[in-house]
Order: sequence, then structure tokens, then C-alpha cells
Amino acid sequence: MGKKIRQVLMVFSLVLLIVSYPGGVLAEKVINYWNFVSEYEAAYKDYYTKVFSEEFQKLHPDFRLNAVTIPYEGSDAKYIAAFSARINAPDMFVGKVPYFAGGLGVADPAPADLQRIWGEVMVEKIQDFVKYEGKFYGWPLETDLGMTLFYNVDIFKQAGLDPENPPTTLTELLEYAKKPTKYGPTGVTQAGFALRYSGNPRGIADKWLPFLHAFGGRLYGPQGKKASGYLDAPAAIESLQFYGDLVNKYKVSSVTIGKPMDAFSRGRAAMLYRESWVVGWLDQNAPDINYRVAPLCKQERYPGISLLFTQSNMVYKFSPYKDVVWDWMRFITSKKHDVNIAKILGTLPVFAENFKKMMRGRPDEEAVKVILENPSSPYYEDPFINEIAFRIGEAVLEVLFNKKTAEEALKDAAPDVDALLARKELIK
Amino acid sequence: MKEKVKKLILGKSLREKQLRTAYLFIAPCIAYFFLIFIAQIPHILYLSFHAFFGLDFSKYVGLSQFIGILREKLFWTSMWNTLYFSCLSIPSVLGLSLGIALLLHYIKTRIIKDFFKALYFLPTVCSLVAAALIWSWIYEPNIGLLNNLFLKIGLLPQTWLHNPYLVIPSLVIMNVWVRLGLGMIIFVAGLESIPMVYYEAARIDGANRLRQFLHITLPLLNPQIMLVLILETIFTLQIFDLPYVATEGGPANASRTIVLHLYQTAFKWNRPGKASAISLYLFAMILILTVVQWKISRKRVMY
Amino acid sequence: MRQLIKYSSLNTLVIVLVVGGALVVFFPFFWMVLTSLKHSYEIYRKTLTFWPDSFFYFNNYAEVFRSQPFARFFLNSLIVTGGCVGASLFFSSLGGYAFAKFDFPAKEIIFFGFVLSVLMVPIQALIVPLYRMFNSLGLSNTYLGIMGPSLISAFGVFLMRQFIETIPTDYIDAARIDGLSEFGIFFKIVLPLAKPALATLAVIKFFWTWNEFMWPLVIIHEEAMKTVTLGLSYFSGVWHIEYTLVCTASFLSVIPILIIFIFLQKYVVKGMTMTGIKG
Repeated sequence: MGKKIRQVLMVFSLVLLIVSYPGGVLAEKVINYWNFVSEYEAAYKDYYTKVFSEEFQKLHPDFRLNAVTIPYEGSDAKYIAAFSARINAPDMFVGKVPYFAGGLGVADPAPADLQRIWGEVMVEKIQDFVKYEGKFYGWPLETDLGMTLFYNVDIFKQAGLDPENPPTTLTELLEYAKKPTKYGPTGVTQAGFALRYSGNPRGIADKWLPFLHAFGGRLYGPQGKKASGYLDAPAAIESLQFYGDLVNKYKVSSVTIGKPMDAFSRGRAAMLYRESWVVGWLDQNAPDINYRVAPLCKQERYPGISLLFTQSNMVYKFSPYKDVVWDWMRFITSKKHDVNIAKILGTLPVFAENFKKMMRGRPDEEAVKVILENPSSPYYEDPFINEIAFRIGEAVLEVLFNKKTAEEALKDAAPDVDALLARKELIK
Repeated sequence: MKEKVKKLILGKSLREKQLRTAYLFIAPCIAYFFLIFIAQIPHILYLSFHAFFGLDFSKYVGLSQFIGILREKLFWTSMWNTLYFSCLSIPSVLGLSLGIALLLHYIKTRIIKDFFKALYFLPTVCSLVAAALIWSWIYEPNIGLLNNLFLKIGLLPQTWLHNPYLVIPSLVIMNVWVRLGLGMIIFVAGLESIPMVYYEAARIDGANRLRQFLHITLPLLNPQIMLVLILETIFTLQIFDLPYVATEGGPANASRTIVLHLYQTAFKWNRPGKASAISLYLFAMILILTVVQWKISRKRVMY
Repeated sequence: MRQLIKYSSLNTLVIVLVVGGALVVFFPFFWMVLTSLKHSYEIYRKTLTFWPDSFFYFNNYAEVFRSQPFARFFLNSLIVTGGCVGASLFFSSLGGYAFAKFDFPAKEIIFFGFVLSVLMVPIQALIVPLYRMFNSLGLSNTYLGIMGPSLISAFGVFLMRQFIETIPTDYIDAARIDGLSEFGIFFKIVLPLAKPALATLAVIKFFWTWNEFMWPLVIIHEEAMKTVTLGLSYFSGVWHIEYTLVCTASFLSVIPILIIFIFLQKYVVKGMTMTGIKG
């Protein structure tokens, strides 16, 4: 009988052990690093893991880096779940500074030495993007200066367009886009201009931004108090109207052509707006596409840096190994690694010094120069920018899919965004 | 009271022993269900009266979230989408599964009948995630099977899941494909339980097949029809997996259902309070609809 | 077969409709398997090729296991499903037995309030408080947490009660007179007699747990703890979808279910006929 009881107890404790297994490895000290910027995927993961194990581990021998790529689509939910669970939360992670520093309050401000050093070495134009209330919180993955115009030289030639003279205004962009567009039974089979219409609405708002800014509009007021009077102003309506007309009136773009990057890399789109990292991505994934890069198109004004989300590395405020993680940050944000990462990924480095060197000879050199010479566009740092962008992206979609006019969509969205902007008063 | 408990624990009579055993046996279940269900009701009420900011900070806000939701366009869009989905899906599932059940009932060879029953039932046992993935491949606008087929037979290809006006009907087709089997199985069982004598009597009276169907089969199948109706209502009102995997609620919110909205509010935008209020609305809606259907079924079975 | 031939034209129509419908219903599965055997360039051809170039092209299968820890997902799913099925079988039949064969105060009220009402309530409506509770108990990313709200099945209690009620009480009384303990009666008399109901419950519970999606989605955020169904949902990527991989992974995820369905069909059908409510 005693033997039986012992057996039962053993089975029972085994079951309990299995059932409460928390997934991660408990014995080692692991620094969890999350990155959802899936364009880079393996390259980032591999480089960080390699540097950590070959160089950093000499300083901190009992630590290990666990770099995880999480899918962009589910990333919002995953971050919130992990941070609210506290255990298994990433010690270092990628995201937009105001949201994680202000909205969620999980990012740690950089230590005093880094505050000073980063201010000295980082490309000046992007410094504000990784600050919240005047303090540095993160180190950007790259010098992201927003989008530029990518165009396919072969398609331009076939359509009788001059690749030496890409469009410079949005009106020209439309005229240019009409020529290479081809139609089949499902609609557009080769688009003059590819735009984002699927996936997270946040990204959709982001892709409309250069149009909004070109028409002289902005998402919300300079103090971040109201969207009414800005998001539903004539300039914003006009720009969204133009954006929707590309699809619904002039039919030079389409909401069935597939994801813009897919379409462009398969030679099914003549032009698209994307960030500078695409230079590296195209080299790796579509080397036979013969493309060039031009500055964004003007309309009322030049849109400059038009981007919502600068992705940067941050440190979790409640990480048990916070000091070690900051040490790792110091290590990886050195000049050497900055260059290496930029080389591997085909992105622009973050150090001003490296940036100047590496910009030379890139296909987007001229376009980037134009961005740097012109004044910046409005920057949006509301702590709830994720949700605000989501709501605005939905308005853009309603227009792209012809469910509402630009005026209706933006007039509906403005009060919702007002309410979201008011939320930051409540956390104070 | 104290004495009663004492007696229950220490009592030696058969009755007391029996009571002890019974309580011991139901204890794990009851404790578990209490934790998972009963205890969550005060919890959800608490949540719905609080607004959450960041990860640690919450604030009592009274009824304002319940009212705020009703003012929100997105909530009504999701409500409308869910109801539209239900209105298309429920009658289709009912009609088609009844039709197939009647056809199968007509087959008298056991093995053949069972074989087809199994085939029709197959999609029901697969996960909705797999169903959503398989169908989004079939619906693919450029290289998908359906549009290729449409081109072959001279129809105009459509963009299915990428078209805000077609997305719900497309999802309904997926859903019907998945749910058909369950209704069919229930109806076949119901048909098999109808005694043949009724039909023989009707035949002697000279009733044709249609009359037999209307006057014997349908009334006697009433309980099964009500069961399928209630099951489908509860199922479609909570539809989540299909739109989450196939469309993520897009394009332009055209397939955002109420549970998807709830999920995103709670887990994407970190608003557990507001999401709890949405849950309570959903809960009320399901309760009302089920009770109404149940009442109607009671009345109709009576006659 | 001979019977079939005798049938009239109406019968031919019935057969045509049944066979046609079955083909339509079965086709998506067939298409999934065909696609899983194709190279990705095959599906991007200008004109659609129906059959794969080679029926022995298994790279997609290798790729699925390479791109995600799919084997681990299978292990997780098996542990979670096994745990839920085991716990449901044991505790549900224990409770069902007590509700069927014992008499105690407020029995009906307890049964209605704690079992039937749980059966009626969709887990989706309570997902937020449930998630917060499991999370604060530190159970997110654990097997126990994933089993979470579906560990013990309320449907199981209901089913076992219905079934055990049909077992003659005399057997139980006789055993009691013979001096068997109450647990002894449960294990040696009731459970063996309730085998068909247990089989039904086991099979149904297996399907429900294996296919469960929303709860794992909110409670798991560790790659290594994902279940098959959850892991599968990540195959529809953002930048581009590889449909060949999607179909392969879908097919793999469906295999265990197909096996059980083919061999234990009668229990599935029985269970599903009794109720389609999840629990």
C-alpha cells in the first residue's frame, strides 16, 4: 500500500512540475530581447546574438541573450500581455519611445552618461524621436528619415517616362502613375503607384503622412490638445481625397494588387513610398529590380521627414538585470557596431560620423540630402500615438475602400482622436 | 448549525456517510466552476467601472465607459457586422444542413450513408484557424483557385476578402462550410427518430412528398431546428477566429466583429475596463436572444 | 450495391446531389494537400496548374519545422490536450456520479447554478477577468494556464450525469453491501459501466482543446509554449504570405484530428449530437 501511495505522489508531483513549467529557462540569467521589425528578422537577431556571446559575455559571463522576433501584427497585444504579466517580459525591446515611456510607462530613461553621449553622437535630426519629455529613452535601430520615392527604371522606360526626371510634385506623380498602369479582369495588374491598404491601420496612417504634410496639413495641433481643426481641416481633407482618388478615381493604384513591397519587388508596381531600409531589403530579396530613389513629392510644401514610428531599442524599467542591460546598450551602441549593423541591413547608421560616410554612393543619397536640407515636418509624440494612428488609419482605409468621402471619414475621426489626446491628462 | 456540520463530518450513519461522499465528489468541480465563472462576475463588474492607464494605474469612472461605448462608431460597426454575419449565416446553415440531412436520410444503405455523413462532418472537427487559412488561399484575388475558376466559366473575378462589401459574405461561406456538419448530424438523428408509421399513414391518405414534409417532417423536427438555431446564434454572435485570422477585421473594419473588437480593446489597446463593459453588452445580447428563441420554441413545440 | 441500381430517377438525383455536395465540401482539404506539395513558384504561374509538378516534393514539410518550432508546438498541444482530457474525465465523472446517484440538499439548485449556467456562458464574454486572474496568479505561459478555463468540462458533468443515471442503482447498492469503499464503487463499478460516455467525452474534449484559439492567444506569449493552433495562425505573415507553407502547416495541424475522427467517429458523432455547446 505504501508503495502505491508513493507512486501516486510521484506521478502527481511530476504532473505538477510539467503543468507549471513557465516556458523560459530559469537556471541561467537570460536577457530577453524583443524585436518586431520583421523586415530585418534574422540579420538583427544573429548579429546581436553573435556580439553578445563573442564579446559581451567576456564582461558578464553568466548572462545569455535570447533575441526573439515577434510578428508585427500581434506585437501590440504581445507587449501588453508580457509587461502586465511581469514575468517573461523582455528586458530590452523595440518600439516607439513616447508610447512605452509615457503611455505604458515601462521604458527606463537612459542613465546620465548616455544622455550626454547620445546627444553628442546621434544624427541630430532624429534625436527628438527617441526622447520623451526631454530625456533620451532609446537608441534608434537606424537613422530613419521617413520615406522616399522608389521607382522602377525598367517600367518607367517601357511606359515612355524619363527615369532621369522623376516626379517632383504630387500632381506630377499622378500624371506619371497613369502611364505604366495596366489593367486585367480583376482590375489593376500593374500599378503606377503602390500604396498600403492592409495590415495594421497604424502603418496605413503612417503611409498617408507624406501626402498630408505635402498638402500642408497635420494630424493634430502643436500642443497635442486637439485634432479637431487640424485633422478635419481643408488641407487634410484635400490630401486624403487625393490619396483615395489614386485608387478610386484615377485607378493608378489598387487595393487588390497585394502588399506594396511584394508588388514592387515582383515588378508589378512602378512607384512606391518607402523608408531607406528598403534599399537593403531590395538588394537581398529582389536584386533584379532596377530601381532608383528620388525625394518625396511636394505639393503646397515639401513633406520632409514624415514618419510616425521611429523604432528604437529601450530597456524595461522593472527588469531584474537593468544595469547589465544598460551595459549591453552601451556596448551595442558603439561606433563599430553601428557601422556593422548598417552594413548588414543596408540601413543608415545612427552615429552622425558614420552616417556622413555611409550615405555616399547609396541609391538614395540625393533623396536623403534633400530631406536633411529641408525643415522637418510635424512630429507626433503623444503617449497614446499607437491608438491615435490606429484610428486615423481606419479613416484612411474607409476612403481607400470607397466607404466614405475624405471629408466624412476625417470629420468622424477627429472627435475620437480628441478623446484619445485627452487621455494623457488623466495619467498625470 | 455547528452541530450539523460536526455531524456531517464525524457522523457514522449511512446517510451522513453518503452526504459526505457526495460533497467530496462534487467539491472539485464546484470549486473550479466557482473560480472560473461565479467569481468572475463581480470581477468583471469591478473592471467595467474602472478605467486603466499604463500598466498599474486605474481610476473609478462610474458608468462613463458604458455610455462612452454607445457613442463610439466602432462599437456599432462591429455590432452591425456581427448581426449581418449572423443573419446570413444562420439561415444558410439551417437550410443547407437540413437539405443534406434529408438527402442522406433518403439513402438506405447504411455504409454509404455513414460514409457521406463522415465526409460532410469533416470540416466541423477542424480548427477554425485552419479553415480560415485554407479559405484565404482559395479566395486569393490574383492566384487563388476561386478567381481562376470564375475566369474559366466566364464570370467576373472578385476580390473577396479584400472587398468591404464582399468580406462578410465570404466569411459566411467559410463559416457555413465549417458548421454544416453539426446541423446535419443533429437533423439526421432527428429524422431517424421519426417513426415510419406516420409516413405510411400519410401515404394511405394520399399525401404527396411535399405535404408529408410540411405536415410530418417539419413539425416533428421542431426541437432539432430550435437546437440548431440556438447553437448557431450563440456561435455566430461570438465569431472571432475566422475574422481574426483571415482579415483581422479589415478591410476598413468591414469584418470587425464584436468579439474581435472586445479582444483588441482589451489586449491591443490595454483597456480592460472598457472591454469588460463591451463583454457585458455582449453577454446581455446573447442572453436575451437565447431566452427569446427558447420561449418561441416552447410555444411552437406545444401545438 | 444491388439495391442502388434498382432506384428510379429521383434516386439518381439524390445520389448526384449528395456526391456533388460531398465533393464541394471535401475539396478545400484536397486543395490544401495539393498545395502543400507544390513549390512556391508553381502557385505564382500565369495559368493555374492544378496538380503539383511532383507528388514527392516534401520541402514544405521540412520548411514548416525549420521556420517555427512546430514539433514543440505539437508537444505543447499534446500536453495541454492530454491534461484537459484527463482532468475532465476524472472530475466530471466524479461530479456527474454524485449528481446522478446521491441525494443531498439543494442538489438541483447546485446543478443548475454551477454546471448548467457554466455550460451556457461563452468563455469569450469572461475572457478579460479570466485573463487578469490567471495572469496575477503567475500562470500565463504555463501549461496549467493554457488549460485554464477548459480544464474541467461542465459539459462533461452534464453528460456523465445523464449517462450514469441510466446505470441501475442496484449494482451500486450491492457493491456497498459487499463492503466496497465509495471510491472503490466509483472506480470498479461506475467507471467501467460508463465507458461509452467516457469515450465520447474524451473525444469531444480532445477536439475542443486542440482547436481552442482565443484563450491560448491571450495567455501565451512565449514562443516555446505555443500550441499548434496558435502557432498555425502565425503563418499568415505581414510582408508576404507563403501559401504553400500555410497549407502544409494547416494540414499537419489537422492530422491528429483526422486520425481520431476516422477511428472514433461514432463517439464524435454521438457527442456532437448531444450538444454543440463548447465547455
